[in-house]
Amino acid sequence: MKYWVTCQNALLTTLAYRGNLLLHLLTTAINVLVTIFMWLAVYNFSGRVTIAGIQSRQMVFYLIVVNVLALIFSAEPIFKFSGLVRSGNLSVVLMRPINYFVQSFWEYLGRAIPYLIVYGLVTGIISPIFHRGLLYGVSSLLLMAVTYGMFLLMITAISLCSFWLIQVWPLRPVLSALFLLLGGQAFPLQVLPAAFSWLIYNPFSLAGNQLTLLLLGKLSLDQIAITGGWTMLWTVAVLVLIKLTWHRGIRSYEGVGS
Amino acid sequence: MFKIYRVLITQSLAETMTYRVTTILTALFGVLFYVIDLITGGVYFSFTPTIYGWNFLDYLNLITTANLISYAYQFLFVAAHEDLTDQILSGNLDYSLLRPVNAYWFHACYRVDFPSLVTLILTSIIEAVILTRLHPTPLNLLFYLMAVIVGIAFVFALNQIMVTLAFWVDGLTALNGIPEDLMTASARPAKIYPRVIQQLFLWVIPSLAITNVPAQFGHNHPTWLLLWITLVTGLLLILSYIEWQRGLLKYVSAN
Repeated sequence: MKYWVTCQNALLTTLAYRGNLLLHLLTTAINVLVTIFMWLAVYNFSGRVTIAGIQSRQMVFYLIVVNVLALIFSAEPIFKFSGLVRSGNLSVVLMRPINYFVQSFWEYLGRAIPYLIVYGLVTGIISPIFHRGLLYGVSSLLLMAVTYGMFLLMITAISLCSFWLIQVWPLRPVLSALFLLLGGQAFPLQVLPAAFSWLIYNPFSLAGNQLTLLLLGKLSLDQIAITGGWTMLWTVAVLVLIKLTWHRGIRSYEGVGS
Repeated sequence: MFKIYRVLITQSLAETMTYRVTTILTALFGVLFYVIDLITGGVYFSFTPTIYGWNFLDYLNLITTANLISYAYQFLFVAAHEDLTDQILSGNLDYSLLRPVNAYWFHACYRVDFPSLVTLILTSIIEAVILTRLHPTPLNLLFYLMAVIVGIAFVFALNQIMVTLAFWVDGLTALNGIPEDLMTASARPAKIYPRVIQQLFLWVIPSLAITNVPAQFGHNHPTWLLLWITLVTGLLLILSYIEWQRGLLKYVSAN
């Protein structure tokens, strides 16, 4: 219950600055529209019905969903954690009878609730995943949940570099660029030559490209299993990284300002 | 006035040298997003040789010109604009208002952003190479340069209008990002958009014209739209100046 309050607070924070939120959504919508019109022109002038197995209508859908996912998979916890370390307020958080990582999860969830609702509605109403049998539906939901956890853990692992770095703002454009290029936000990674097919199993692609294809019904049960396997592998790798760096980080943490 | 600007540039350079790592990182990120644009363009044109009559080289010319305009604006004005919002909100304009200089231009030119100079030079070199491939006539090249200068003034005027809104609106930080997003969305051939959007952003808020017009001169397709964007930019500059004067009437000092 104590974590639920964190979730509510995070949601309220998102909704508190409604003007900023609306303008942010508007600019995201403009960027999506630009990419959509460009891809429609590519379909039109190439004379192709499908590109990398994706029809023009599905491409429009792909670009909208992948951009909603980019909003869900935010890198905000990195900057929050950096603020705590730099100000020394991490000491206060550590003294509280809470688990910082669990709190971080609920905060991450609360902040993204408006976007998660959109993603959930699209999944429930338009996506074919619940029309392909119980096993497919359950596997899809499991993959979504595991990917969500994996991405948050990865962001948490990256945030731990705040123990050693004074400024972490440079990570913001880097992570945006990585999601744009490796996450399939600019274009589906499937349009790249076969030599780059391994790229679809990077964590950004698992969160962006693969979850979007899942929603489009483009992943078979086998592909869901492989994608899930890679997601679990990344989760384990990131958990090990967190375990190693957290203890070292805490030892180097000076608690300045506390 | 030039002497004052020289002092402000010297101060900016001193600040840049203090934050060397930040300078290098900012330059790197500028290049990073330009490279993503190039890769994305490469992906588009791997499926078709032309889109609405634009081949890959024309497209490169367009996005490089759009980046050139953005980086030139960033180099000349972005640091000053970031500072101006803070100065207005914290009520610290008094010192510049008391000086025997034009406060509008003093704040517009208060700082230059040297990290952007690196990306500006890099983009200029790439654009020069593209133009040597496109062979514009000397007259078209001259109009290309004029259109780029008008483009920089247009982006400046849009940002100045948004930043000066801080006299009335507090906390709506996303407003300041609108011109940048608008220019990013405009770095595409105008014809990919539906006719209504084309007309809106070619004639009413001519951000599409700002990027497309110089690119058209670059590949020898002169257009009268240059006259229109010059006129609109002039009007926006006047509007931003009027807004500044009105804003000063709303200004509350915190000193």
